[in-house]
Amino acid sequence: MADGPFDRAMLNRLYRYCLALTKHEAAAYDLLQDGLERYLRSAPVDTRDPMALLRRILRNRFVDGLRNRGEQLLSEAVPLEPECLAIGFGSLEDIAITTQTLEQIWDRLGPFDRELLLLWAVEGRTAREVAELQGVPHGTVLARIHRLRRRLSAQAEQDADAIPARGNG
Amino acid sequence: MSNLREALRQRIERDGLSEERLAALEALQAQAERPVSAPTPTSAPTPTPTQHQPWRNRRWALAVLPLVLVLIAGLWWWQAPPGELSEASRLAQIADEVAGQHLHLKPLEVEAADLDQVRRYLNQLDFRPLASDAPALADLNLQGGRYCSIQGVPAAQLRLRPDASQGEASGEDVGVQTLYQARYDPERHGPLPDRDRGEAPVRLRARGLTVLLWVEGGVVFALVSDD
Repeated sequence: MADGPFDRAMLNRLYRYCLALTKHEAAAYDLLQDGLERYLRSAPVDTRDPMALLRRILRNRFVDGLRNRGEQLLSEAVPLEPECLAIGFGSLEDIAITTQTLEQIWDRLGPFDRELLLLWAVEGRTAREVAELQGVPHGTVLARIHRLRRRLSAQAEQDADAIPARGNG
Repeated sequence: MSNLREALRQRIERDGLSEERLAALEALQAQAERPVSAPTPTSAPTPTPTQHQPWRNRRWALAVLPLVLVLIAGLWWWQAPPGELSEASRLAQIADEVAGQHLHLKPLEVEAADLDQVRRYLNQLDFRPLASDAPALADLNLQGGRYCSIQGVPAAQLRLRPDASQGEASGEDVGVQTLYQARYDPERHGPLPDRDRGEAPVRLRARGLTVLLWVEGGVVFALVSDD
């Protein structure tokens, strides 16, 4: 039985969320610990969705940290291209990728792109829910998905070309 | 090759909290729960500190709002251009961060008086925690360490105590000093005194504590003490 609003499975989900934002284990754990402390101090006792509230706290603290360090939140503002309007998470479904490629791309993605992919692939969120959580217009999320699709598809195609070449070699 | 969603799920769910960290987070929740879950039968139904009172918060916010606006305007006028943190404010930021961590000391993840043992535990860092002969570290004994972060960069937090005799004489927690080490990134940390060039550490005050900052062997050192 969990001592508090978050059981072990929830803590692990939140940790992975922090890890997607920070990319570093120690920073992710610190972020989770600080966010949890803040939640326990200030959350209303009758919070309906503790996970959602703590996730929001974690994100705000992460963004505050970036701002305090004078880092620009480049991926917060993505211009919307017209073709993005018809694009949603469904456009990512048909991409096939190798573990190695994903590993390389994952390390180069920005925190908000990693967050977006986690919310889609692991948490099963829709683009509109992601927009709400990230506090950005729905169109911005669609634009990010469009950009990610282009990037991931290009890399996946390279992989597909490379596999027969390696097989022949 | 696998489906992107499945590959992502596997990639992300591969990571998880260690048993120690899970236990620490559960302990944190249990600690916070105690005063709420065990009220005395005779106690008046006054709200606990964790209970939320929106009307009161709103009234507070309205009362404080003009002051906050004046402060923001003042800071806006005074501050360096956005994105260009002045050297002094960058140092103050680092000092404030490490002082904050010192005030809320978290449990050691490895207890050892031997730096090599601590290094073996902190093997996920992108630098090697260093021993230093800085005068400020003389007569301090290593107690152990844990992972932490400074300015978003993974760091080592080492706990030091004065020689046993002094520690015992002055009480258990008195005299504990915290030494933070992180890989030096000039862009992120700004210029810092370099002990390898014979420069003396910079001394700052933050949150009522003393913070010494310097660079040595490509590693940032931040020593926090109650002095």
